[in-house]
Amino acid sequence: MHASYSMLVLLFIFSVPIVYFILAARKGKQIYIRPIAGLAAIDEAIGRATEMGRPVLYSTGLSGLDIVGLCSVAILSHVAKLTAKYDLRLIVPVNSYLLYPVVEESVREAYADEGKLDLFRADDIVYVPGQFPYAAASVGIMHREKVAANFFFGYFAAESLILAEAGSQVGAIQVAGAEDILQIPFFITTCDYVIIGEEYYAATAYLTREPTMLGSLVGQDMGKLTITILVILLTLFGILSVAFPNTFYSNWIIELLRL
Amino acid sequence: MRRYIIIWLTFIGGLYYFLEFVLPAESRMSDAVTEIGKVTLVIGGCSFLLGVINLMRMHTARIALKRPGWYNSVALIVALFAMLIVHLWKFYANAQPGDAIDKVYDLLWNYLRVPIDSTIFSLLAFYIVSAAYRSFRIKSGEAAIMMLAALIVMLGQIPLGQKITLWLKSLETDPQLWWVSRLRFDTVREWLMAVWNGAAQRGILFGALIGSMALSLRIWLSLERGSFFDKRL
Amino acid sequence: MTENEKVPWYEVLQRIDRRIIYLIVLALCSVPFFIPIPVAMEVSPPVQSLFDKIEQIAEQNKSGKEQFVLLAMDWSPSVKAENEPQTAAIIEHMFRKNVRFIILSFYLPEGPRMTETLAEELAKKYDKRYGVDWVNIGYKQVDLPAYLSFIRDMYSIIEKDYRGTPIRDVPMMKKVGSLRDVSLVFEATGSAGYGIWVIYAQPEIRTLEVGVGVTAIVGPSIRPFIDSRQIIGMLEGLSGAAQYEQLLKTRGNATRGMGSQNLAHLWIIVTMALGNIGYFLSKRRERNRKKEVA
Repeated sequence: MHASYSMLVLLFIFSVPIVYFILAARKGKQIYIRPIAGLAAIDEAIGRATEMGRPVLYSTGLSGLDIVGLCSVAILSHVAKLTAKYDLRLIVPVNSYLLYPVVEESVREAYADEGKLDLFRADDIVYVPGQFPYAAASVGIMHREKVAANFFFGYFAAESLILAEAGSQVGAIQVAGAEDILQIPFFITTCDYVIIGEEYYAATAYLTREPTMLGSLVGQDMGKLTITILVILLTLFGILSVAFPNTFYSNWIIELLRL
Repeated sequence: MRRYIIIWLTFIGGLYYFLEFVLPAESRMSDAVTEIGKVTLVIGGCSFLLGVINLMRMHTARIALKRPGWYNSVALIVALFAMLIVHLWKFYANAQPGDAIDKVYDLLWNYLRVPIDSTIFSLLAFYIVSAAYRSFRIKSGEAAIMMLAALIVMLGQIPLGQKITLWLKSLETDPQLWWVSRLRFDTVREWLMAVWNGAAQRGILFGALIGSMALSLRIWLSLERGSFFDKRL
Repeated sequence: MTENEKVPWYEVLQRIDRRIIYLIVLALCSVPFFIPIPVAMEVSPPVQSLFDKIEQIAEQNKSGKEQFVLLAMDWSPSVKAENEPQTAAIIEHMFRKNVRFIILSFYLPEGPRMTETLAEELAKKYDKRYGVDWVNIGYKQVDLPAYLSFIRDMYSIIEKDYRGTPIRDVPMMKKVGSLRDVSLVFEATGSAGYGIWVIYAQPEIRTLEVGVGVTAIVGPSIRPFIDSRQIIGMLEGLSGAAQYEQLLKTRGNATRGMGSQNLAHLWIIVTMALGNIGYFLSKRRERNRKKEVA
């Protein structure tokens, strides 16, 4: 398959803003992201765990060493700094052997930054391959350790409900964030706060203030704006062509896109 | 130096596929696609092996250092090799149904692996009931609409639910009340899923695909940053 | 409320022990195994569309160049309850109509293995033979470049079938020159494996159509593709498979399983109703109490 002319034009319309805003952000352009409400929920959950004196569990789900996994590690870093600050135990089950060393280093660094390296326990970073073995292991940890707070950030599949419901049964406060929309209904019914879809990346950008992520978010928003305009225009033309069948020629846009 | 080599190799690799896509078929760029595919197939096979090696390394370390839960690592390694040996033996010995090794394979696959996986998944059936019972409360107008939609969708997809409104089908040919026949649970469900749900999913899909396009651009142009990408090589 | 005050019945409705709920789920799901519940369903348009496509392929094969079906079996034992009956229904339809098919998977090794078991069982019923009426290529771990290579020339990455026979020596494959001889890809998956066929294969091969058999959770996300006719039909969960069995006029595992799904869905509705009744009555009592105090 090769690109048609209209596809080429659309490709540039979507790509150029992304690259432009990334480069602009790197050069120091200030980019505003509204506060992500889910991040306040993280602080609240850690606060509650501190009061109860019970551990915190952070699940990266089935994320591998990809953008979803790395965003999860960025949020984990933030959580680890808080747990280190409040002398809490942090347990992190990890599903991917590629992500495991990144997670371990990230948590170790967070504890070191807070001057609490002696509190870091490598055994609390648990590697469990396989979807349902991972779910079973995490559920077991929740019940045995009586965790006070659960964080689910990453890519989740069917095991999401098993994890979240088990956490709900032990009475943990739960905050979840997943870019994949399929598991959101399960998180919404079982978690106290859910970060949905694009907010997941926005949360990472907000926490890290990484210019690449900030610029990319703005560029993507431009792309979505383009699509919104196209959808509205095409819908209007479609309606007008039905209302005035012989007087209004709406197919020229469709023919243009076919070029 | 090494970093720049990686950046340029990444760019050239991505550039090939970009040009192959944007240039017309007459440019003959597509001729190499098949061969490049074979190369990546080999690399993919190697990464599969890498995964097994990493798994073994991690778990043998746990056993050697007697870390908490080391016996689980023993179980994992035993299971891995048992399945591997039995499968290879069955394949290369050309075992027929009824042979001893075929029965062992059956035991491991049909009577252990499949039921264990299915059982954990079946927990969802119980959890969804308790989650729905605990959390679905009509606390607002939106919650009421959501509850109504959920009710219609659930009843519309089970035979007993469809039977409740099946009698409306008889009104299909009525010149005045034909529209009432469309108010059956299954047709309203189909309408909700195709129109309302379809529109919402389409919007989400646009966002997700633009996101993946942005990610691809960042990786291709080596604009990606983060603890992994900034590591010293 | 003091200790001596009895908990009102509507408060109890909001706090039913989950073990009781689970026991009832277990009982309701088990009952249809012993007392079959009659199941007659309305067939939804996506299911009908998929059925019609296979009928169309069968008709075309009688008069023109033979077209094949590719079964992309990207499902694992965990989603067996939904994807297996879907696969079984499609295979049975193809065996009945003498439509030949190829099994493979680019995501999971378990899928082709379990599909092979299904095909062998059904083959006995319809007197079909491996290698002649169907071929199982098995699992190929491919990434995107290898997949693009497969679309252009499927034999570039396929050397042997599932049983180790060189692919060119399999009788059926002598009739399959390329992916252009495949008229329909049926993707059975518990997640989102259909994407590669829609995004990469279909634009390359315009005559290739895609149908899917997915778990019920994935079904809603397929709707935009059905609307744009990029996916021509869908079996959504166990009910999709049961509808297909109804079209085939057969009673398979999906139809049997719908009995359990019937009762379980009704129980979910009952629990939600009980919870909400308890909630509303509690709220009313609280409001009345506040009025009394005021």
